[in-house]
Amino acid sequence: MSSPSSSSSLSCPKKMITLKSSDGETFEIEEIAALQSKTLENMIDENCADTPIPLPNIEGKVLAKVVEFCTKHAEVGVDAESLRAWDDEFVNVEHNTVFDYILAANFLEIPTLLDLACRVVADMIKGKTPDEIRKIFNIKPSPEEEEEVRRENQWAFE
Amino acid sequence: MAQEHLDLISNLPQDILQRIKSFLPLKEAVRTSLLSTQWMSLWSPTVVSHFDAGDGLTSAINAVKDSLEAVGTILRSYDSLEMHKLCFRFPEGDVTVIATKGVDRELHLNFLHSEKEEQKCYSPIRRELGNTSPPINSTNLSTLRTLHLRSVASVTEDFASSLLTNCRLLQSLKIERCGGLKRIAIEKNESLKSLMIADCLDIENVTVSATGLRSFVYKGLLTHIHMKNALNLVDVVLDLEGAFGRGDFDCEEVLSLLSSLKEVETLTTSGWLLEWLCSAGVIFGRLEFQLHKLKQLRWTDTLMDDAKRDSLACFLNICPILEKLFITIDPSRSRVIRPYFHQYWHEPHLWMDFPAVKSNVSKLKHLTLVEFFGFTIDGEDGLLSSLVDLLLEKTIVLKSITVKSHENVSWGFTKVPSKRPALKWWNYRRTAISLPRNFSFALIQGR
Repeated sequence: MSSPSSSSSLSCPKKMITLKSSDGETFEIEEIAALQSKTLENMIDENCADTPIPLPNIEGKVLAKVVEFCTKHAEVGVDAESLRAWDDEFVNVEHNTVFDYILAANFLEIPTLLDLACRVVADMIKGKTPDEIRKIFNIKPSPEEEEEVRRENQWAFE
Repeated sequence: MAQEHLDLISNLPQDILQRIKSFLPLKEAVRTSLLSTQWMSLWSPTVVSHFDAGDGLTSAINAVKDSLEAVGTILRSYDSLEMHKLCFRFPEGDVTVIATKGVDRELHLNFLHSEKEEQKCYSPIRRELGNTSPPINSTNLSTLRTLHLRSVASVTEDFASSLLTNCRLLQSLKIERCGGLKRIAIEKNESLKSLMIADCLDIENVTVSATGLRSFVYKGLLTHIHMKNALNLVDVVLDLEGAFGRGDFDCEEVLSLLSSLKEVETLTTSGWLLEWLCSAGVIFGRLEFQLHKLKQLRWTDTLMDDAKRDSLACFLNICPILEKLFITIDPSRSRVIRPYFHQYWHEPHLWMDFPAVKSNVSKLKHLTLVEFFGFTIDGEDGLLSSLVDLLLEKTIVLKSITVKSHENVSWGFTKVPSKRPALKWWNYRRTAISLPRNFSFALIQGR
């Protein structure tokens, strides 16, 4: 297999990887950015990354954002403060989209994105009563078991 | 449109939900178990272990040892939130301990007792919580940083006690609702930073010798509290619901407690405590100690009256660098009736009229902020205005006084350059109530 372009060429193009979403869209991502994903990293190591990689679990619009995330986090010279601000903006979306990010990050094993998205969901839950949480996420309650849980863990409900 | 609102979160993979939970504070994480059946199943499988402490002393000791080892195993890792059940069988009845472990090195033990235990039949073993039994070799226990014990009854005290001894690097301890518990002793402890004792109805003695302690919160009836070597104490809350029924109010002991708190920066106290001390003849200014680092004082009581006001004024004499003062009256608290004192520490002084009281208060050179909560502008029989009067006279750098009522109506006032004889109180609804007072401050619109 050919190695990445040598430094002797004037304009060495960065090695790109092609990803294919579930709805057939293709996206290019720099190899360096792709290394953020353990799944993709394994594929690159095993030299399977020369043809477009199909990701049947991830929709085009989600994959586009994931590529954006990885590219940003692979940039050098970004200070922690502005990266944090960028992250906050990135997850400032509807919670259904956050779940999409979580599932994508889980599948692609991107720990930074997974943590970020999970924290966002945790923040949505924090400080709210169970009823409020159910409302936000449309969770169906189960009243029979609720009583016993409340009794056993009374301290948490005070 | 409604069909689109599916419950997407509960369908996330279990390990992701666990991860989300691990970002929540322990209490809130436990609350999520209520959300639905799926969320409840996140907590299981809850490991259940059984310990038989029935047949005599040896079996009781072994039960403690085994259960501590079980706890040690639970604390093996803090990757995820877990709930475990420890079931103890005692001759007096069964006790189930629900141990909830959080990711932040935190363990919450909730003791649930079977019916028999409710009759409160105390075991003959000493009813004490503290450094009593010899340590067992379990390094996992020393990884624990926060321990919360709830409803430890007499039979399980040995277990709780041994746990405490073995969690050698504990930083935060909370002991709550432990009826039947008579004594808490924490000695020669260097790692504890925060201690909270709340609602232990039968407690008779609390002795703490923890050099690293920074925060101490005590909620309940006044009892014998001994703080030794508390040089690092910064924040103390004494939320006292009354005095211990048996025995007399021991002035010397309370003063000794106050003296051990002389390095604190923030103090919350119940008003009646100061009132009782002053009724017993204590003149704070004549004591050998001052709260010379106190910056923030919170005073709370059921109501305000002359004696309480005067005792507070007297107390301010030992708060030389006080910056913020919060005075709250909360009628929902239970009333503490002052007894009659026959002997006086220094001399009785609550009989004095207010101008005399005022003149005995030294200047509060650093006070910048005062907040009254639960008062109304024209209520409290002039007690509020007398206090405001005192504050205005004795302070130098006071920037703001705020008065908030229970209905959350608030008045604030600030200094205005020119002196005006007639004063108006403004509240947020922009209605002015004129009061003939001769303050040199004018009230402007409150928040």
